[in-house]
Amino acid sequence: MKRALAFAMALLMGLAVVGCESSDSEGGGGTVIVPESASGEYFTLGLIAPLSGSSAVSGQILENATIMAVNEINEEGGINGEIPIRLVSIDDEAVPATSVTAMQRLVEQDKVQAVIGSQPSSCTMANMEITEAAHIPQITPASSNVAITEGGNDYIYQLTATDELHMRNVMQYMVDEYGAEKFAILYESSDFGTGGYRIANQICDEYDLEMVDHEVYNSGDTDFSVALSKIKNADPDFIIFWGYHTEVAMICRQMIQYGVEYPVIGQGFNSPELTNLGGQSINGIMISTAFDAANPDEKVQEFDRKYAELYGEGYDQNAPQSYDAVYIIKDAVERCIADGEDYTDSDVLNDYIGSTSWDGVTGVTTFDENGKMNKDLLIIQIEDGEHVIVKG
Amino acid sequence: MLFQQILNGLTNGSLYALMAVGVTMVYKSLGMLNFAHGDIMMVGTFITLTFVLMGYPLYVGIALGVISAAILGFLLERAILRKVKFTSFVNLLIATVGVSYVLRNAAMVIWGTSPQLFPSMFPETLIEIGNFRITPQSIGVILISLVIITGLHFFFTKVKIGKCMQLANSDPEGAAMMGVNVTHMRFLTFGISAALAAIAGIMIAPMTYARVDMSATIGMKAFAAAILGGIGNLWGALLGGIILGIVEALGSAYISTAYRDAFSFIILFIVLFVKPTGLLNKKIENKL
Amino acid sequence: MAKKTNKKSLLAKIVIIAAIIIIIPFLTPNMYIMQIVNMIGIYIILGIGINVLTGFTGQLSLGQAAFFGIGAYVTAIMNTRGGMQFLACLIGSMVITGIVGAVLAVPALKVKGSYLALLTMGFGEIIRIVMINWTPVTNGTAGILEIESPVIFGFSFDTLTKFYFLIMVFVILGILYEDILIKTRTGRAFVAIREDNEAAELTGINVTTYKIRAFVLSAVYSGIAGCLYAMMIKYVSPDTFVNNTSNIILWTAIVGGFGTVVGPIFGGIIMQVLPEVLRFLGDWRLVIYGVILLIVILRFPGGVYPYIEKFIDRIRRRKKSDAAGGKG
Repeated sequence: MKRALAFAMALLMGLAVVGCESSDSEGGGGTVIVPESASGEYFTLGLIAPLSGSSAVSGQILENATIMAVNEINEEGGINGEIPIRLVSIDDEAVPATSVTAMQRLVEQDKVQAVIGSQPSSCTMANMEITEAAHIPQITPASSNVAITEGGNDYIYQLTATDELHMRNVMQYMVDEYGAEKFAILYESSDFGTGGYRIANQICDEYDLEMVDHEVYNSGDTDFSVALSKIKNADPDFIIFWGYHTEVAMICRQMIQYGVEYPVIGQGFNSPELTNLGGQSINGIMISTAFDAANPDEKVQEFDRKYAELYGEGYDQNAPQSYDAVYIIKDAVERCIADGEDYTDSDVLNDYIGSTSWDGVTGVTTFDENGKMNKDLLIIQIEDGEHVIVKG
Repeated sequence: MLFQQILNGLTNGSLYALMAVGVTMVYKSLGMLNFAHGDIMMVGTFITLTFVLMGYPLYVGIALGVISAAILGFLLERAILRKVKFTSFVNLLIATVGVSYVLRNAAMVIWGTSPQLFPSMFPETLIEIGNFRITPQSIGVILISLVIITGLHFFFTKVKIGKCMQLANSDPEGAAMMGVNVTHMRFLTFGISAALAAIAGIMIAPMTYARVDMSATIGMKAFAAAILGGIGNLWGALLGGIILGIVEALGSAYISTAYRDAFSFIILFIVLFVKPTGLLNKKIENKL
Repeated sequence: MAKKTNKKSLLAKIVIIAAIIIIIPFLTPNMYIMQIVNMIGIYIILGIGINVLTGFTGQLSLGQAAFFGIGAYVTAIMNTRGGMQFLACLIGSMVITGIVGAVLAVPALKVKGSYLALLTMGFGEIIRIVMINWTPVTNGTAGILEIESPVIFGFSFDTLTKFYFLIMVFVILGILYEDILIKTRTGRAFVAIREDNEAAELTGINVTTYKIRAFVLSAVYSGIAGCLYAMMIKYVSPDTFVNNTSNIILWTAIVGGFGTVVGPIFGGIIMQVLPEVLRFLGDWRLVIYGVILLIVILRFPGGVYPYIEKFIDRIRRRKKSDAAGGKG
């Protein structure tokens, strides 16, 4: 009897706590923007990103840019000048299971009409099932895994260039500008890096490029002497890096240390931290990217200026991409209303997002039938800490 | 490449050795592994970085970082480990795991999660000997570690306080009877162990950047090194560290770079299975 | 006469528990809460697993996430590649985790205390590295997607509420089995080993066999939890089964009540609910969480349950003395 009572107490206790927690809809997330609405109508936008834990820096940048966009729009009265955006942002800690729970909260409790997020591909792949089941459109501004838009999910959009897009950009450029014939690829063992390797393997023949060596490293590795030594032996025309700035900066330093000198180009490390950590050693490195602050385009400069003013520190490509994501949703709703359709019907809204053609800070964005983004990419080169656009 | 790898192995190995000495000292004193050791290293390293960023010269920063780590070690011993002695060993161990968790998450909030550049004590210019290039960093690390460990050896065998510490750790009752304050000695042990960890961290951070998750891999390798060499044994820690460093380097060069971190765990398994006393110990030093 | 009261109280017990379990879904306002409740259930099962190994038998394990992960991956692979349904996947997960548990037990027999903790931690790391690198089988860091909901004899548990009942079945079975276990000879052997390894050996208990049994049992429990987890989240990836997860599993058993049968229930609830409740602390959330756990371990080393037990006892004593009319 004692045990049963204890069991009962436990369950009730747990429920009570959990129940209290659920009635508190403001806590638990990140920021919430609740604007005044003249018409009483809102558009509820959800944002899900890692705001704590190891990916917090990236997630925070994503959130900053989203908030910037939402505030801009609300200052004009909101979507179509009269529907303010109510933003609910929630932290998924970059843990897939937490991301699922967090998404559920957004959908069930906050009743979002569209979602931006998440950042790590593993989280997006886990949580997009929820939006799919609820027929709510979701744009991920940062998850680049191709599987996201190849699973038949009609409600997910990738607002970041896939590995394939980047790799083609890279290979075309090196063949055109350097007359390259052979290359080596150094990539991270993560999903992101391995994706790069796979694509490189698949398409290099199309550019008459031969892969003479491929080396892998784990995130957090600090010694690349073995990989660099093997690459040196293979003597490629250039090296492709597919990884993140922390390791890439270290690799560049060690390249100098071990006397490994080749042109370096790649993707994934276009972050202000790269120059901070790499110093002089990253001189000459080239990056394929959808966005760079060096772009003289007025919209880009305006974005760069405003972000720096509001948030100070540097940003990576997640910022302009999530900024555009907000505007794309706004544009879709506006086109929907202009056509006399009901944007509150999430399936209708989804159709309009699918037919997007939006000229934003990341260039002109359109989506193919799977939700993959089409765009022309840039190549930038870093010289003495400055970004120079060498292509595009 | 072979030479380069052996040099790398020696460099990393020296650092593992320093960490292993700290681990082994605490084990001898308390009879258990301090799972927060790696995080103490991390905190000491970041405190140094903070002072450097505030404008203090590097050597001041290092001194302050090491002292802070020692204080942290003292606090830990006082606040937590003394109390838990009265309950059970399992709880004590888990308490150190808990401390590790708190330290790491606090560090994430205070210093952020991005890796940060850490200034090196040594000049950056490479030394070229024939075909080989050596960084002053590598040589410096190996030398400093050797000096510290040798110095500790003398401290424990020739200096009075050091001898008292050794005695208190290996035979608390006997030491107490001879008038040694065992509690104070334990206190000191923790402080020195923490300081060693901080020194190791400060020497490794220029190569790996200062990051809040430093403790994850290096921490466990320290344990593996200490056990490999023979727990409780100073020279064992050195030997274990060096062997581990070299095996890792050669393994990643000739077997697989991806599984590099797994080598230390595999060695750990083999040692625990075949000869848990370690290489230099004769009898089992497993108090709990 | 005594028999009748016993039967009655047993019946009452079952009715109360069943009632509570059935009411819970009606009390949960939305799927977000339901998800949390389900995760609590999964962690209760994990907690029982480690409770058997560490709480009862005294073998400290810091690598339980490995078995959790193996169970999850086996189910994921059997389902997405083999097209197999729940029961087959469950058995697959149980068998494989059981075998791996036995394999781990072999070196684990030789060491104890800190060394054992380190060994199990190292084991957890090795499994995680394998998950990341054995790409043809595990799909590496990308993980395995699109795991289906459990289907038993044609009935599909495709909503969280239905899943809840499935999880509850396993929680009840898990607790019952644990309860029976502690009363059998095996259970007593476990406790004897925990109290004093050498003495147990001397009294004729085959320590080796029982230790292996404990490892296998805890592994199988974790494997079951892994299977349920995989089919609930429908996606598995290596970054779920990290060192920190092993720590949380350990704390689940400790905080709830080490070595007690129902301890893991409290532990599961506290460990899952506490971080959610602490969200208002923002950045310092996890630090405070850690500090609270430290305080619990230091001040309440037996876990929460013993205090609840005392509390219930006090109430009962008061009732009794009231009934007895204040005598004595």
